[in-house]
Amino acid sequence: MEQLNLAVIGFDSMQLLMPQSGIATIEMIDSMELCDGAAGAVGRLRAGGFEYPVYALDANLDLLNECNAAHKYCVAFNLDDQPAFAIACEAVSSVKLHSADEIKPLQDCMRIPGNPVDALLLKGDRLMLVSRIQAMQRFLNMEAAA
Amino acid sequence: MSNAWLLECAPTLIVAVGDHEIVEYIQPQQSYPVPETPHYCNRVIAWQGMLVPVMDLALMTGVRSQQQELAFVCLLCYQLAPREALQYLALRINSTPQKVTVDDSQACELTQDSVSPLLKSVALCGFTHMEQTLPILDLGKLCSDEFREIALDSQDLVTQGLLVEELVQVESGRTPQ
Repeated sequence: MEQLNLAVIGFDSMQLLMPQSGIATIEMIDSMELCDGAAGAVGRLRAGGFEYPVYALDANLDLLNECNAAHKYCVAFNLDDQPAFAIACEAVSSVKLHSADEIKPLQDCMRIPGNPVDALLLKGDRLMLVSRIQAMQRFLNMEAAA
Repeated sequence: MSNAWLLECAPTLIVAVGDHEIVEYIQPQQSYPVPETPHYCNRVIAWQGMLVPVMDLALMTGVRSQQQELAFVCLLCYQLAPREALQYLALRINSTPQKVTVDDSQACELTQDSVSPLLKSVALCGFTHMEQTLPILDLGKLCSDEFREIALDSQDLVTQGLLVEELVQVESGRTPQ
């Protein structure tokens, strides 16, 4: 049976699930440099010889202008072995799913082009958003450019 | 003669669905917001192990402009093709669904004056009931990719200077008259 390992990234009462295999590094938020990095980014993270733009999001997936006191970690993702982006968050954990059936694809009537959310997962009474690194990178770039 | 259910989405917005499409009338204890989704369909409810989208036709058609707390929903099911899995949709409604019997003598044209062009584009047909013209919804179309684009584009009508009916014609490949 295929097992899915997903990272649970918590911010602003929202929980975002991303493929755990795409995580390059998890650093304390203090490691982030405030800078005029990529548009829409709150800072940049240097790790493993790479540089990642760091984005902070609210529960509506709107970009924040700066981190807040609740942000503790930066989770950096690679895509095809290249640095993609990092997300500022309050908590990071992982979840193992024993069946992809637990994940419910977002239905057509709810899909807006560019939405990084592919699917939903309900754990207890918490709804989690399931995304992919490529889709999230595209979304962040689009939001930052808006 | 056949049976249909009348669903009141707002005092001035009543739609009908087929007898076999209605599943349950419930007051959800909890609904969950999903970001980056259409404003009229931005929550899901958990029901029997599934996550069902909640659609608000009053918001979609502009009959109501503000989100309101979710009270009652009517759970509906539909199939996109025979032998395919059932799909579910929760429609936000104001009052208990009402069962009616409809016969051929009640069939009528859906006109722009009687029904929102958006709903007309997803109606199987129409009928008169208590001097009102009501659309019978095609749930598969209502929940389709194509209709979602039409509904979202209709939000920009003022700036585009198009009527919703023209937009429906353009999106479905017809030339506006």
